[in-house]
Amino acid sequence: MAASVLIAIVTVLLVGAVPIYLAILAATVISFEVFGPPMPSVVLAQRLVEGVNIFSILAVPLFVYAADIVSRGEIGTRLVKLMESLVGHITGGLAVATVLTCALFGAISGIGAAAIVSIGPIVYPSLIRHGYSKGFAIGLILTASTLSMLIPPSVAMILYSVQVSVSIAQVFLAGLAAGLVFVAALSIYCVIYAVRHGIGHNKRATRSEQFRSFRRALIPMGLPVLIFGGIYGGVFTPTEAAAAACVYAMIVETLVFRHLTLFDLLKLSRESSITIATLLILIAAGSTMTWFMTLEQVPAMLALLLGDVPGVVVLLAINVLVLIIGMFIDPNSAVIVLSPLIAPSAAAVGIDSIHLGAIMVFNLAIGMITPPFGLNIFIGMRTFRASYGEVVKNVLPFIAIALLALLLITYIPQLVMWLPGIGS
Amino acid sequence: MFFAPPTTLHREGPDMNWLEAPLRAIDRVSGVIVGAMLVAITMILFTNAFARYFAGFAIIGGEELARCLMIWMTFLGSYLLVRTQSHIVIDVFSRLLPEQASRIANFLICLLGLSISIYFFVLGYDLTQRIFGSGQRMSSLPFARAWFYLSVPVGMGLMILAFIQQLLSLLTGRGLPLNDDFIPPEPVSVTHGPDLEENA
Repeated sequence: MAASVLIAIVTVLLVGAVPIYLAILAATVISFEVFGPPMPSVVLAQRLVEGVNIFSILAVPLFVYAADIVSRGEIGTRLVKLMESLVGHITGGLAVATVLTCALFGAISGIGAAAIVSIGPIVYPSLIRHGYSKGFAIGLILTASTLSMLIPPSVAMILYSVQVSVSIAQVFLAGLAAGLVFVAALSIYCVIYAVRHGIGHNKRATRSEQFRSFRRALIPMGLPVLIFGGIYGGVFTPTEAAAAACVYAMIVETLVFRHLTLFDLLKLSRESSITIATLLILIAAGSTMTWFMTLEQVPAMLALLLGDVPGVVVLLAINVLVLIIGMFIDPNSAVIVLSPLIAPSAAAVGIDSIHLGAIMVFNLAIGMITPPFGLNIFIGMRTFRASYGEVVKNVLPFIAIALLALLLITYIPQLVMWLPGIGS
Repeated sequence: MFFAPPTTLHREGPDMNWLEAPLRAIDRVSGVIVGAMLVAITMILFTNAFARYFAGFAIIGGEELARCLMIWMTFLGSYLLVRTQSHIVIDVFSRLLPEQASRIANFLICLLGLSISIYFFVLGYDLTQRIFGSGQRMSSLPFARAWFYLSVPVGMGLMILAFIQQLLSLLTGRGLPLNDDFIPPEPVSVTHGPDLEENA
């Protein structure tokens, strides 16, 4: 009863454009005061603090900060050049190079929009010059940018791991596997598109050209090496890897590339920390709500309710639900609010929590490019000076590809789970 | 992450009232503080990780200090977000409202924000006092544990002021600054230095 009232209040408030953190807090406070157990209300304030008093959550601000530094700097350009010299000579090579650069960028950045502004303006003119249509180029860049959410480090994956209490390192690997499936799907589409539209390809880059672009990309490539090597080599926790990535990016952009000044970094730290606060307050509010829901045994009841439903159906239901919610809510908020409710029910019907992490984040990544509200659509409009209608129309084929990849990773768990299997 | 980057915390505009001037000063100070906290967290954790791995020691309490700073960032940052209307919000439906209805909706939202902030201010104050009274210390630092909880009454207290300011502003017929939450205020400029080739 208390739970249904709470959900009803949250829904009404959200539709009424109440900020999400406020909607969650208000609904929790009302339900707690009306239906809650006879406990002093002060526990709510305590939950609010304890919700963000968790060491692994520190990875969130740090990866957001690292992404902010990287996306203002020069690292993107160098990655583009590297990928172009490697695959530019195959048919559709430039489009494939765009996908691969976004994937590589995803191994540095953890949020699904940063690649648009740091890779987009570099590859876009070059795609147009080679005969790709404007619409295809925009659709491709906006879609491939979401790879940052799948390929570790990923802020959404960290949030999922924290909310569901599973290993961040394991969920990262599942995300990497899912990201590779998506890379493959996008690349195949690029080649087919290039063949059908008769788009030519570059001359094969010479060995020395390849070597040169590789050397220039060496310093940026240090970032993924530091993050992955650090986490899986047992040197760092994901949080420490994030701190190391920040410091590395700071040093590279200020001292080596001299693209940002120290003052830029400080200015950026203020902007980043305010952005980060949007997530932290949601985590705090979300944890208060989750605490109350658990007190009312909602996750357990949901799990019981789903007890007899076959896993296949539950997976489909989760996909539809998360996909629709992802169309309206930004991915990180959705992970914070939904995963504590969904994960226990999914576990009850035998869905692996690591696999579920990849599925949920993939759904929310698609939400970044779906109308009416995908964030990437708006950033794409700004970056490429295109109209809303133009962007939406051209993103549609890519949404179809993404849905196909989503189906694959949902119903063939091995596609995702082989990598965490090796890692454990 | 570009959905809420309030680049200008100190908007110019007609919504000046007696509360606005002191709040702007607070904006400026707390903006610097949250930024410094982020840099501090980065440096503490970086130093800790490297010291542990290469020198075999760790700064005692570094981890706890980082958590404490993050908690303060949450509530101070949240105040700044209220000030600039930059909290994450789903505004697909409210965009359809006519001007007058949207003013009323804004008024109600501010009222709700004010009530919830007062609620948590009182609870947070109570909690902080209790824990200060109990004399609990942080587990690895020689400070009172209550410092963690003090962030709630401070942050909520500031939000109370921010919401009152907005209510006053709405009542006197001046609107709230509309910060389009999901569109970056200006395209992030991606410039690539002319020295691209030199420093390869």
